[in-house]
Amino acid sequence: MSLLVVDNLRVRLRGVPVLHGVSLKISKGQIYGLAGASGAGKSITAMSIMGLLPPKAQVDGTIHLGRNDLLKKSEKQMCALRGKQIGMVFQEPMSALNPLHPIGKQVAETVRIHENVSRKEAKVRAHHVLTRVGLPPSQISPGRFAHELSGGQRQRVMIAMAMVLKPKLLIADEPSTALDVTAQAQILRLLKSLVRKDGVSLLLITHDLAVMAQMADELAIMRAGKIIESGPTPKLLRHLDHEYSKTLLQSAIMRPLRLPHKVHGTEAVLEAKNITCRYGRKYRTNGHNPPGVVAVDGVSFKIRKGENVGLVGESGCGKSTLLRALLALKAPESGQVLLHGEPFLPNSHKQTKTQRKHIQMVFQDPYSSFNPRHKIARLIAEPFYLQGKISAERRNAAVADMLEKVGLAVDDGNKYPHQFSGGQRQRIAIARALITKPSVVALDEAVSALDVTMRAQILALLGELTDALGVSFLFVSHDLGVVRAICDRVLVMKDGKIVEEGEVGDLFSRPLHPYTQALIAATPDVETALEERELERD
Amino acid sequence: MIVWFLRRMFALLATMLAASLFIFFMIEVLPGDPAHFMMGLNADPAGLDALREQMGLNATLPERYMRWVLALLRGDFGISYTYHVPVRDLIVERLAVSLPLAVYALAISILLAFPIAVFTASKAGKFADTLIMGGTQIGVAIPNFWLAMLLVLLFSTQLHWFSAGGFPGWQAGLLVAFKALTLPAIALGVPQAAILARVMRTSLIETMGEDYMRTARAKGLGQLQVIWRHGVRNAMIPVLTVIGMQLSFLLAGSIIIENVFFLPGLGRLVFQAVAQRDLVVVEGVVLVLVLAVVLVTFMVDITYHLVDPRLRRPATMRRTK
Repeated sequence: MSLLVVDNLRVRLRGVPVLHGVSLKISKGQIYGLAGASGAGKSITAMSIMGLLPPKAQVDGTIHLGRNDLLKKSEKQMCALRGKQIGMVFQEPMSALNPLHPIGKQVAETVRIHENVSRKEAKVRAHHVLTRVGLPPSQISPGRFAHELSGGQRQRVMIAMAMVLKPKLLIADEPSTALDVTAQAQILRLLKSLVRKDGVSLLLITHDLAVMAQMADELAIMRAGKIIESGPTPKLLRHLDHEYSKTLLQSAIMRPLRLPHKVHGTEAVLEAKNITCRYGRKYRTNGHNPPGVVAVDGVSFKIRKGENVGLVGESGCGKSTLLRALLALKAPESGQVLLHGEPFLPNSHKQTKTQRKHIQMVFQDPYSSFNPRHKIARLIAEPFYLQGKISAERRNAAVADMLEKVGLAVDDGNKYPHQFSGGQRQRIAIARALITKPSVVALDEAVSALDVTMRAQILALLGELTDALGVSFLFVSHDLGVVRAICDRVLVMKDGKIVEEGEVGDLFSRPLHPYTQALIAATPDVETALEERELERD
Repeated sequence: MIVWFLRRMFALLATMLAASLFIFFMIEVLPGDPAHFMMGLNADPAGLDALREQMGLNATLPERYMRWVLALLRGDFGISYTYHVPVRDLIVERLAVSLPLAVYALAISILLAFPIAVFTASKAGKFADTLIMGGTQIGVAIPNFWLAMLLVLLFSTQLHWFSAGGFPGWQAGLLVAFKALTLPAIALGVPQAAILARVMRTSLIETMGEDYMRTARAKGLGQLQVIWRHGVRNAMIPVLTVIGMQLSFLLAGSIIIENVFFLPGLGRLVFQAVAQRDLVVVEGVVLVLVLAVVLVTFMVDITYHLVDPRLRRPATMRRTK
């Protein structure tokens, strides 16, 4: 008996059709995965079920939850179903929680909306469910606010809020995408165990097929508002019919792009010598503060010419602080950064300005890292001020050349950032970084905001560029799969220290440090997940 | 929180000290000798000098500043040259008009702005929204003294509902006194309401697009409940700043309105004192106004901390109970 039946669902937003007849069935207790690139209509499907589409959406077809015909329900009736029979977990747990209310209150609110219980009773229920999601009130006070929790903890609160009334259907829209690998593995495990114990059906939405391979019983692949194929997960992933699905799977697998043990020059273009950074000393609110937190603790490494180095670790391990020191944005407390053998110091020093053209940066969010009122050509040409005066013709020629190198057209220089997709913007960011012909480009989570297909394309582009231009990339990421694909050498960072360092092949096949082993184990991988499931069944 | 509070108090004192220094020296460098003014143009130089000595004007600047500040700390603002009464009494008497007027005008501003903002935000982009927002644009542009004259023309001259000006004093009865303040409060409050409504509307619309509003909907709250329970408090954060600024403005900036309505408020007091070179009064009033502005800012800061937990202790310092 199916719990949720969506039949021939068609949705138009402002007259534009976005769903073209989506049909799916989820049985009781089943985990149903809905995969696809961004813009495929996954979230629109979820919001249609919730009845939370934008006001002027036109919806056709039927959605049945048990005997309830959801599209025929009034807004008031839907309010009674939301939270009670259908729970939902969203992607971004920081912004999805109200910053002004304590977490315990937000969980209790779900109870108070639907059940006529006292404040005290609701609180007891909230504490109970918080304990179930791994936030026992004895350790994590329900009086805390969202900003006082880690990303993983916030997502646990979201799950507690959605599960407190034991709904029949839980919808999780990219529940682990914004988290780092270890937190992701924990959240997925938690979701799976909760829905299995309570017999809840889960509609899991993610672009990550590796996650699907681990989690979903049934899997559907969406493209451009349609489900193009579906079936039991292991079987479907082993025998994909559709070309598009195959590309999606290939993108998810992320095979190494670099030849193993490629010979590099011995010359170090960037060298970190025993760098230590500390922060938090300024907080003197109660007079007896600890002397700050050591964010980076005696880190040393070299990047050679034309070599791609990955720096991996969970959020909070000191990656970003180290990066700031490497880019001479902040002076380390002790230690030294050498760029081409010369000390690279923060801006107050005269030579820094001439050195800056040798090291450039690509940031995570391609949406907010451009001035929206500047044209692309101007944005890309901006770092030229580092090179002193240059004629307009030479500048334009360099910009055109760079646009072509990153796979864009020359006329794209006359457009504005909002006219491009996330992947294209990341290409623009790469062009901007490469225009000064730097020796090193640091990429901070540069593909984390992109979906799998775009991610694969950008990685391929970076692979080509590093060989063509002889530039070295320092790839900072929490995603081991990405690092494995693009890097020659990997540094694993934990609590401010480099705990392991090695060639990509060696490190992934024979990780020595327990932390590296844990990271690799936590990284979802299609092949491993499928093998495990097939073993389980046998 | 206590340390934060003490630090804020210290900053407040430092601001006051700086303000007192500034006021004192500004008035010193301004042309116009009060002794000369009191004795008239044909004053006898010996008499003038005697008066200057008596008023303490012949001492050195630092000496006079110290004397002034020490007296202030005792609550002694000096004696007015022109009224021949203690400045403190003058200020207290005038504050009894200006403070209620400012609060009254602010109340009008908030009470008008709040429903306008909620209504237009919920209809954002529709005709009613465009129309009302156009109206507030006019409200922002109208000078308050002109609005004051219009109000007098309509409600006093034509309809005879209110008197055109003057203040009977609080002893005349609460209702009578408030009635006398109503037109001035409207004249002051309406342009402020227009500004506040626009700020509040923008803030509400922004808040309505937040992810946590969607979360609240997913929990089963209706559209209006979501705005009320999760939206308003979040949207109030930027609005608080504007309200604080408005209160300061209304306290210090009502000189023209007080003149239009012949209200014996602080604004008129300082206006007349400047005209008559009554420096002691000017210094006292300006200092009181600075104190009021600093206090209002302080109160806004405290309210911020009450409303927004993110401004309280840093996360790492919180312990579980």
